[in-house]
Amino acid sequence: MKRGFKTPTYPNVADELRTALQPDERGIRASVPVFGSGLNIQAANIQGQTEDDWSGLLARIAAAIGLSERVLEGLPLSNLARWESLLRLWARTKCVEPYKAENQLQKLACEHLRNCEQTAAGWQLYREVTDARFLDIVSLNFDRRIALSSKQTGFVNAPANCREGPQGETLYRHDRISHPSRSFTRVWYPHGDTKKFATLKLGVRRYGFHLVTLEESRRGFPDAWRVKRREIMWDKPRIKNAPKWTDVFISRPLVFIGCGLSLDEWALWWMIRTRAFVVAGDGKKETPKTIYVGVRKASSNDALGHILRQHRITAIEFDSFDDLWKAVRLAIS
Amino acid sequence: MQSPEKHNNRHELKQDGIDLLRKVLGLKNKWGARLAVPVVGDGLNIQALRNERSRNRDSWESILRRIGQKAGISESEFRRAPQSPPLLWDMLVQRHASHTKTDLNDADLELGKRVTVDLSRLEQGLTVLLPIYRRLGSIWFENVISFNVDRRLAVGNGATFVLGDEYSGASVFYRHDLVVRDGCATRIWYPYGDSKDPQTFCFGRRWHADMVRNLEDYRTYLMLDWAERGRTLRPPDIVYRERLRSLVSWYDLFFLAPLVFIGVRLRLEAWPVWWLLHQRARNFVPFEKEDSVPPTIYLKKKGELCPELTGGPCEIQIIEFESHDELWEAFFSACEA
Repeated sequence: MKRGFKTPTYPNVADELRTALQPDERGIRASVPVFGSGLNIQAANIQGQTEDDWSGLLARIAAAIGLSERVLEGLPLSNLARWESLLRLWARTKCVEPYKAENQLQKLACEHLRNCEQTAAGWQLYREVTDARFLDIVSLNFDRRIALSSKQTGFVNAPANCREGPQGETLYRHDRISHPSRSFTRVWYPHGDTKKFATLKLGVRRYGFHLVTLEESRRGFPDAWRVKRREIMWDKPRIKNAPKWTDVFISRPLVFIGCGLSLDEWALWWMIRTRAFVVAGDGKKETPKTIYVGVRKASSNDALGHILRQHRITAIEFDSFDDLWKAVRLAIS
Repeated sequence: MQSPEKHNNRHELKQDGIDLLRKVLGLKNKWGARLAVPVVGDGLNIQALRNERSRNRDSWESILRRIGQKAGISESEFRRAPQSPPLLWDMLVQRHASHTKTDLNDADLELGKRVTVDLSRLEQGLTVLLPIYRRLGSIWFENVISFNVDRRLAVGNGATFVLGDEYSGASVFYRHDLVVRDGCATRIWYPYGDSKDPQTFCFGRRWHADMVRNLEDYRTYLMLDWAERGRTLRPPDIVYRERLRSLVSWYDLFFLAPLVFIGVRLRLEAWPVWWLLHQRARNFVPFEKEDSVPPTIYLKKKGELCPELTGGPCEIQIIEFESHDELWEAFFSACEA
């Protein structure tokens, strides 16, 4: 195991990770793990199964709509661009408007993920994550596999009169896992969740809405910015003080685990940037730590490293995913 | 060693690309103005300065480096800093804010002012118009989009600046230079802001949400016009010619004009640009079998790493050249053919 970009202050990276994720005297963990598709891949590995990452999911969708592997290989590498290419291909094939094609693809993705949820119910790694008693977990995946690994899970919808409008529902929607100790864990889905396929943030249009919604929400504005909604939204009663994932994301220590952190994940980087700027703009507050847990890359290109440093993110790097997950599981056990 | 057949295929592909470039750049309106819109970036200035012997050799990077030094960023730190302009700008603002203990907004504006001063000095020092600016200025494009904030291309060609204040919304959408030569006018637009006013600058990612919000707002109006109260979109070339008659913003060009990206890098983190390009590609889906779809062409040097362009996102057609000199020469030759 080797460490990342900062001067070592811990005997090794596993210890640093354990410190970052450690519980308080009541057994509650205040740091917030942010899980990406790496969690699902590892959970499947442990069960002796295979699982898709995000591009694997797109490949499944491509296969479902009848695209050959050769066509798929020729599509753009960036997930956002690949999604856009897929929906345009689907729109052409079915002679429908691109937004309709997008809805159809979104439903396909959602149905596939719901099937995955059923298959993976009770898988060991999800149970370990649930049992770790984090106060909050942020899942960048759409599926609810972490939450569904517990029988004490209830889903919390967005307030009926969510001030940010339909686009802002994902700010509030979360799973709530109750523990025997009467504490609970909230699992947030910034990119949307499989319980309601319309919440899924896929494609450039939704990315755009999502980005603006996040910023307007931070500034305290409702969704009156949308031309089409200005008149109907103006007098809508507003619900205040409902918990949002953005509050958690900005104010608490974060540990990114199993995330690719591609720069075309607009909402994610927007919030990472906002978090860094909020910290920079308020010198009096203690800085909540941000940690990225990843695997050391063989290439000399340190582009991600520069970007992480710029956002005050400490990287903890392991030699392999197996080492990484061994350390994570040890830290949350 | 590559087989002769493969070599021939590549040669044919390139020739196809050049033919397409000629065709697109050859499109003119009835008065002779070219309908295609070159989208230029820092590559234009870099190319202009390549053989420049005068003292005005300042590049965008050297300006940022100087600003970074004042914000306490060492040379070695600068070398390791992100190459991407939005990320670099964010870093400079952040460091300047903590260095001077000022608010981030104030730091952003302050740095913007410094950049303006440096760029104005560059523009005023342009005693001899560099050949590439002169050559580009001599071609009658109806519109040019510049991702640079400096106005060297415009100032060198004797442009008049148009504020466009009479329109509502963010001024960065309307402000432009107007180059008039022999009765032929070319507008030069600055989507990232212009050196006349640092308040228009929107380099950093802090502007991305505001920009995308504006793009979404304008989209509503454009789409209403595009569909002309009907349910289906009209062919883009017809709408483009209509909108050109009363063009007030660069926005419409991104949706409707044939675009030729030259000397520009389309980085993943330039979200507003990708928003525009993806929306553009979506809108053209119903017309894919028609000639009315304006192409999106990207000129690049062979071997340049652009992972964001792999697989041709947004139906971007890439044409590769052996060198930047060849690339620019091909562009000008296509215009002059």
